[in-house]
Amino acid sequence: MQDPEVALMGLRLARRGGATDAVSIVKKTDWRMIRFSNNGVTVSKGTREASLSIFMMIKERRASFTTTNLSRRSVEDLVCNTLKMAKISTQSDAYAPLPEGPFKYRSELMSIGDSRIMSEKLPDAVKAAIEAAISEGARRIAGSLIADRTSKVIRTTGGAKGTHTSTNYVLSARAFADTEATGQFAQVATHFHDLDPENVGRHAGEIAKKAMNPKLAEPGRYDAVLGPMTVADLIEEVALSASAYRVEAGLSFLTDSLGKRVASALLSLDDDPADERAPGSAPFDEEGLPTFEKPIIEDGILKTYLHNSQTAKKMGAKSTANAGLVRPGAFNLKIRAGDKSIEDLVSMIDNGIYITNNWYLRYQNTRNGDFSTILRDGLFKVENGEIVGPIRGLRLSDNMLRLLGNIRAVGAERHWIKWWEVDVPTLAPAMLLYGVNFTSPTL
Amino acid sequence: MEDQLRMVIQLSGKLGAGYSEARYQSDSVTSFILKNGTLERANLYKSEGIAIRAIVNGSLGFASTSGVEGASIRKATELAVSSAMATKGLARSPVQLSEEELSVDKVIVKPRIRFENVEFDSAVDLLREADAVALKSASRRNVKMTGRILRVDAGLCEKLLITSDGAWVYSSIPRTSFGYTLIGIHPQKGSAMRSSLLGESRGWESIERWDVVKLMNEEGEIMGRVLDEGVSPPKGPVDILIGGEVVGLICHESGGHPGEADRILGREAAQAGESYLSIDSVGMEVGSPLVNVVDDPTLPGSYGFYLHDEEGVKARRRYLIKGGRIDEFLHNRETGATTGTKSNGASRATAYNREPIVRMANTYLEPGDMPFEELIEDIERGVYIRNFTEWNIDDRRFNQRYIGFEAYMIEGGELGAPVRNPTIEMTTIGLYKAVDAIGDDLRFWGATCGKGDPQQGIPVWTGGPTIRLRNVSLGGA
Repeated sequence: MQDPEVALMGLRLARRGGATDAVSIVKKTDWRMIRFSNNGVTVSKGTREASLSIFMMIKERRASFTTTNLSRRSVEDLVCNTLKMAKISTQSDAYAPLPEGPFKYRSELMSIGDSRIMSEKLPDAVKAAIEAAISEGARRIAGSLIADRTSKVIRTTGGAKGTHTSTNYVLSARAFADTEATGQFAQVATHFHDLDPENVGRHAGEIAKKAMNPKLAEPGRYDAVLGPMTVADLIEEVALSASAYRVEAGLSFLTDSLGKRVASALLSLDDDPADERAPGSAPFDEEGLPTFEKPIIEDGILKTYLHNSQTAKKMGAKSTANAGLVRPGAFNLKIRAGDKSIEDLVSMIDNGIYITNNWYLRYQNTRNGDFSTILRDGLFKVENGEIVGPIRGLRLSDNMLRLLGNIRAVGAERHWIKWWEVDVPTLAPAMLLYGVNFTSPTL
Repeated sequence: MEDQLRMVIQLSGKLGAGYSEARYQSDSVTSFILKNGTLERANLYKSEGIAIRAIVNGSLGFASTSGVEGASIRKATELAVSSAMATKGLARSPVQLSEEELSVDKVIVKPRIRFENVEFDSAVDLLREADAVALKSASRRNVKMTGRILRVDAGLCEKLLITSDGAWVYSSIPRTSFGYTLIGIHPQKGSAMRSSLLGESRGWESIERWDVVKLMNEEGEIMGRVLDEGVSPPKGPVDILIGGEVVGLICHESGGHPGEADRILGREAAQAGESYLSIDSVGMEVGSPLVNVVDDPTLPGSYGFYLHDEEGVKARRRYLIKGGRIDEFLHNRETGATTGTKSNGASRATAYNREPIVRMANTYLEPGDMPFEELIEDIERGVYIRNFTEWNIDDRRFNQRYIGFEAYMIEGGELGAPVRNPTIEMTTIGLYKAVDAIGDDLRFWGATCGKGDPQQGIPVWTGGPTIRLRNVSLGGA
């Protein structure tokens, strides 16, 4: 069976089993990865897989399944068992019917990126990244290059019907000039010819070289320039907290903040699934609604939560076409650019810190936004507007809302970031924040 | 399925692989989530497929497919071999595997109560009751539990592994977990968050034994007390008692991870990071002589249970730190060969589409012989940190932080008022060397350990007894 037929079969079986509403999605992935470390390839990987996900409602009762076995018999069994769970559970939640189509999708979003993954070109790209980092002074380099082509077929009882394919390349490289002198950079692109492995390797190598012989830093509050990698990680957290699922569950620091100031007026953040050059774009969400660009935060004001039709009904809003079958989420995050170069941002600091990367962000409390994250790779002391040398041993320990409120300037140059730590493709500039709290070990 | 796996081995060899392995893996998991008292959704997840590793002239290729019929498997085999060949010139040193005595065995763990035999409605009702008692017990302290996620996952993982050098292992292991996140808000005193996970390689009987209603009642009461009565942590040096839930996490993060040989050798450098240890750190003093950190996949019923690893090597108990010194690292066959030692059965993969890599299983601090009462009795002024909210650690596993959720002042050898957010922010060696007594109250918690690229969240146990640190400063300022 072809993918649309499998999706249709799933939908019919769900209907026949008693579902009032259903979404059927067939996803196929062709994926390659080259991992490298110590200047050489450690493993080359490839995966080909297909799955069927069906989300079903019997009015307000919901159940779903995902399977890699697409045979009719297996799907029949799963529909039956899943609906059995839905049927016998007591009535609980509000009923929001799936959006009613038919829908028209933008043709330029139906196929994004290269028509196939350029697997034969991946080894040379890895080689180029390694050589560029070494030419900048790195002694060794590690990272991964991923090429991914995914197709998604959707059928819903609301009449949604569509097929979307997209190709992504994600390159992440970490250079070591010494054990504790490291630099990391990453890029995501939809076309292989837009991927710039030399630039990623060079950038990582440059940071590593500058990070040689770091001094142990004193904890305290400092003004800080956050590079695009760190901005992307923090902004992804903002988008996760803007998901109506997290808000409605009472777990978000953006709860009860709609229409209110949640950040400095310098921050404007959009979710843009409709940019055909952007890595996470898609013509429809997982309820089949046509996607569209929307501001999440505009001039520091929270403009919307990210909704599917279920969360929208519960919160008295309209769907923003951000449905995931489980929870609404962003497609592509774009932070609107400011007008400052990195040098301008650094020059605005009397006594502070320049952060190039972070990792391992965990909340003390997602509801109020208290968290900390490890600063890794090049970390630099700034005095009188200039970088004076590398430092180490600090943790950024602060509050999300306080940080957002303390944005004082936004960079002009933006980079598409996606890597191990950042899932949602994010177009991120550097930023200057005032009064960021840093801690260090007591023993 | 065995025939298909044999076909992979045969075809890989014909295509030029000097070594190959084929693993069939099937995972089926039923999950249900209660969000603020409402059944958010029930979900069934079934994945199955085949993972193939091939070494061609020292170059390693991995491929997987969700198609389990002949044509898909053949294509995946070709992909594994061709991937290895494509990057042959870029390998820095040839991949080799250590010589091992490989397993031929069948491991079947039978759940006493299969989830399929549990009335789904009564299972959901149990979570509803647990949710309701948490809400009620917190409300006695004027604390509103505004965010409550309770989740049960019950699953079965089946694997068949065949390698070209003779391993044959079938395993069938059930896993059940109960996880929760709770947010409480006090009208005057702010909010707090608590998350935890219990997990075992058993069936529904684990949920019954954990008594989730009683557990949630306690968590609600504690949330109420922490928010209503919590005081600021003391400044300056104090004695600290750290409870088993935190100790288990400490052992996992800074006892287990830095001892993973692939990290030490730099294979994870761009992702999860490296280690403060080097390959010749065996014997290095990193803690007080009382500290013995163990990783043991063979604990019956444990969340990280297995008897043979993903390369067909028999699992065994491993001392990572013994008497305060590094005793051995976690190895697979690749790191074993690279370092001139043997694998100790630490190769694991989470799914058919994941490459097996070096992982922990059940990591814990060996208990001492002091009852809690003895640990606390001579502490004049201190803090007892029973469990945690936030934590993280740097990528060399040296600079770590744990923020206490349930914590109490200790005065005159007795527990006093709850303490809000006491912070342990210490280096690994600083913390391990400060341990001056270890309790006899070893317990285990479930956790999902992250590592690999793409990510592999793997089930593990973290465990510990209560420990005592003398005269140390809390951090977080």
